Amino acid sequence: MHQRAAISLVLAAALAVGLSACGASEAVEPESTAAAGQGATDYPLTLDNCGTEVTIDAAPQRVVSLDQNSTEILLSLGLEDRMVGTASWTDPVLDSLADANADVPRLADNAPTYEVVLGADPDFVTASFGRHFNEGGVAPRERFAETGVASYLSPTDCDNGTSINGGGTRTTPLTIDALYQEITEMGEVFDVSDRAAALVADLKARAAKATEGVDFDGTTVAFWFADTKTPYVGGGLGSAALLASTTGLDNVFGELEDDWPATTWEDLVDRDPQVLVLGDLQRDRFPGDRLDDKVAFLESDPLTKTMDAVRNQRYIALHGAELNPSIRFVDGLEKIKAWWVEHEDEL
Amino acid sequence: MTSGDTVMNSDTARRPASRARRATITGLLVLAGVILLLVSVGMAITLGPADILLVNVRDIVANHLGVTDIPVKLSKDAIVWEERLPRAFVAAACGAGLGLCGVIMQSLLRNPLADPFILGISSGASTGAVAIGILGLGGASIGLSGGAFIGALVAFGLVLLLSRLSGGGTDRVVLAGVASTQLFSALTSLIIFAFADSDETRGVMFWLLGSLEGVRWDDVALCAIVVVAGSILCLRYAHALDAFAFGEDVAASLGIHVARTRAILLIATALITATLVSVAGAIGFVGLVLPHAARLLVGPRHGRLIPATAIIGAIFMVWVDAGSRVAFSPTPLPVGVGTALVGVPVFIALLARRRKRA
Amino acid sequence: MTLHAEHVSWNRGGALVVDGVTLRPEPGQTVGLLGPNGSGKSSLLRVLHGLVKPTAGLVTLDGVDLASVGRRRIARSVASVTQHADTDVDITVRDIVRLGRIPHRSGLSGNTAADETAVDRALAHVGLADQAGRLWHTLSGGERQRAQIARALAQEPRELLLDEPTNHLDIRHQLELLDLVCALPVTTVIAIHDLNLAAMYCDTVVVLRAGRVVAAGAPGEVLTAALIADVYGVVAEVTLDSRRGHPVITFTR
Repeated sequence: MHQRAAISLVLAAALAVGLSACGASEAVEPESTAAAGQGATDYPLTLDNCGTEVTIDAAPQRVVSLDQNSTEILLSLGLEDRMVGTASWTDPVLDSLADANADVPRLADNAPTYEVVLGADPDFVTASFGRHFNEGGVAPRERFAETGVASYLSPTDCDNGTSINGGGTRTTPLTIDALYQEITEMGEVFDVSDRAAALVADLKARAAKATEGVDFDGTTVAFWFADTKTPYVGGGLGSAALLASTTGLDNVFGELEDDWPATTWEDLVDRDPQVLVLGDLQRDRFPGDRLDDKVAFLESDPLTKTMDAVRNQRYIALHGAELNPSIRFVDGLEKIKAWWVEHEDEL
Repeated sequence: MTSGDTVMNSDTARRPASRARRATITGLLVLAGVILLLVSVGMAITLGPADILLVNVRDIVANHLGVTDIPVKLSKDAIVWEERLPRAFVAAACGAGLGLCGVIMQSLLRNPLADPFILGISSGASTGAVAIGILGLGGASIGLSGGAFIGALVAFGLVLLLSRLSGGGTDRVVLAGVASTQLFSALTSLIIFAFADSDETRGVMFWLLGSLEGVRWDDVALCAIVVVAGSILCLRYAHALDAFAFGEDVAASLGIHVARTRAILLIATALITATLVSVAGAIGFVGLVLPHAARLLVGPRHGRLIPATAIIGAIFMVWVDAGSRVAFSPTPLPVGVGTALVGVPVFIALLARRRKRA
Repeated sequence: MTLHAEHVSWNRGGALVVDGVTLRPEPGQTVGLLGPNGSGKSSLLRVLHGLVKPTAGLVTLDGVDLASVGRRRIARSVASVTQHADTDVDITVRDIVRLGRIPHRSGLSGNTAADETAVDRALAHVGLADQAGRLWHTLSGGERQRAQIARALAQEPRELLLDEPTNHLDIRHQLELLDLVCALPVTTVIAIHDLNLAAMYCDTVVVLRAGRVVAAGAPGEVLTAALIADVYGVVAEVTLDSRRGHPVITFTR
């Protein structure tokens, strides 16, 4: 009796497997017609991208962006239809891009895994920060290349062919041109050079307007990104320094090489900056991420409240993305101007 | 027999004087140690990334003590009085407290490799801290320190539970501690890898390695009270700890309430360690190495070992912290890195000494 | 009045290790506890010292139930020396003996004159007075045992409980130790393996098997060939040496 039941069970299982395998094979979608570019780009396009030669055979149709900065550039270029994944979100998306972003799948809030990225079946991968392309990050660029996926790293993270975030140190100060270069190159890659040029022009115009008449004339500043125990401050060659140099501010930590080194309150108080730029971070996970927490800390801590900038409440609040070399950098400049207009007389 | 008695009597006559002399020597040594500690603190507060001259430091301290009224730049005054000085005191408290707990653990568990973190406390504290910091549990109401303290006590509770379930006794406590440490370390790693971005990881790393950045006077009050109370309690149990030298049976036969003593001392250690770790993070090596160093200097009797470890620990930490401040100035070095860098060679030297005589 | 055990039994993990043992040593006597391995000698000593509570029966000290006497008081009256006491601590002989004064000290108090006298006396008794500064790990097996006995003596007990103290010693040290123990003015209960040594040194012997007392009395009366065969399972010849006053046991191959 038992034997018969067992045999029937096995036969039934075999039948089920056999039947399920009998279905039609999963159709491989034929290459859909490429979204019409404007035809300005000559393919195959070769770029020298941070020490790696990138060859684009045709305008990518399925791009995965590993960082928010890159995502917002691509969205600003109207490329949402060709985006199949985003990751590493530090702030809510720009209001103006929210609709465009709504249909793009978010692969991860932080860094995704290689498998997840490949699961989105990309033909192009972009990043703003080079750590994604390290071992222990998402995957090295060579590994992406093995499966025919070209990769791109923002020039803002690049110094002499090495990624800063990936482990290098800046030898030359970051300039805004790196951002414009990224936008322009994206325009070339996706064959939307007109839109890219328009975006660059718009940003340049806004930047010019935001810096018009703004000259802090050497007023000292410190950029405090996060952490109330060991404050992370803006160093001498990165985006914080760029904000400073563009507006005539003098970064008290200008001689430090790293973009965002950790320091001590003692040191910050001793350098006594006249103005403090405070990072208002949306992630709100560590004490002091939010602007209110930062201000509350500065004004209640027995050491920091002795600072000139704290006693006179000379704070400029910028979002995390505005402190990074992204398109929101210009928003940062605009906020600095707004503060300048209101408080110029106090300095 | 009579002549023996005579010999004893004359010896006895000499005895009170030498005992008094011994007590005085101990008292003098403790006093010397405290003076050395104060001198260390005084020198340590002159060191740091900010450029403050020795005369300024002297003026600032004198002002606050009410001796003088010299005008000093406000920021420099704040740096010395609100940051460096409380930091030196907390460093001293951590050195004393962790050293003290190390003595208790090594004597109670009869294990020369025991340290206060053997009860899973530092791992639990780390998990608590990252749960608050990275997972954002508990909202803004509990800070990192609060989370760390809770995590520490949860880990310790697990150790007590596990050791009771497996029959109680000293070796069970050690095993339970190992299990708890592994569990909470894994949880900490899980939270960091799964949920933290690189900024948050950097921030947590400082805390995990032990850091005295951001320490202020209210931290001093908390740590001082806990360490002083703990020291007094431990001194009361000095004889009991001596009795444990040959094991729990011998201790019981000497009149010690083994189970009660063990429970009280473990709980005291847990509370002291949890408090210190929640303020300053997991500072390693102090609790492991300092008791051995102190034992070399004053011997194993706890009546002397406990105060000696506390004082040596305090002075040690004050200097290591000052060194961490200036080594890579202005970038701060987590003090736990400093204690390891100094502690490991010391420990190796101690091991070599043991091997030579074995 | 001393330490008495009245029909005590002790159950460990479901096994009856001590079964209805009654023991009433006379003050100043040396009582030998004999029996093969597993007969319950060590366990009986632990029960006698109050380290574990008997599951049946009563242990009394001066007629009072031991369980109701404070630990420190017990420690001032009863002292134990076990087989394997060892430590990692770099402790001197003098400090080891000083441990015996712990039941007499309270709180934070240091050594009193009385403490030091007791320590000196104990060291003299075991012959380690000139070795007082040596470290434990440098001592030989015999010296270690003597240091532990000195520690026990420093407690100034009336009862001394010894669990096979001669086990790891060579013959000379065995004899020296037993000479020392027997000369002590305290009541001694000593668990011992060697039948001849027991016969030589003990005033009375108590023979245990499987936790029960099978015989008790003077060695000459108790240690018969029949008993030895019954309890130990070996063939022996017992001759009563009238010159020495105690039986001599010889074993045949």
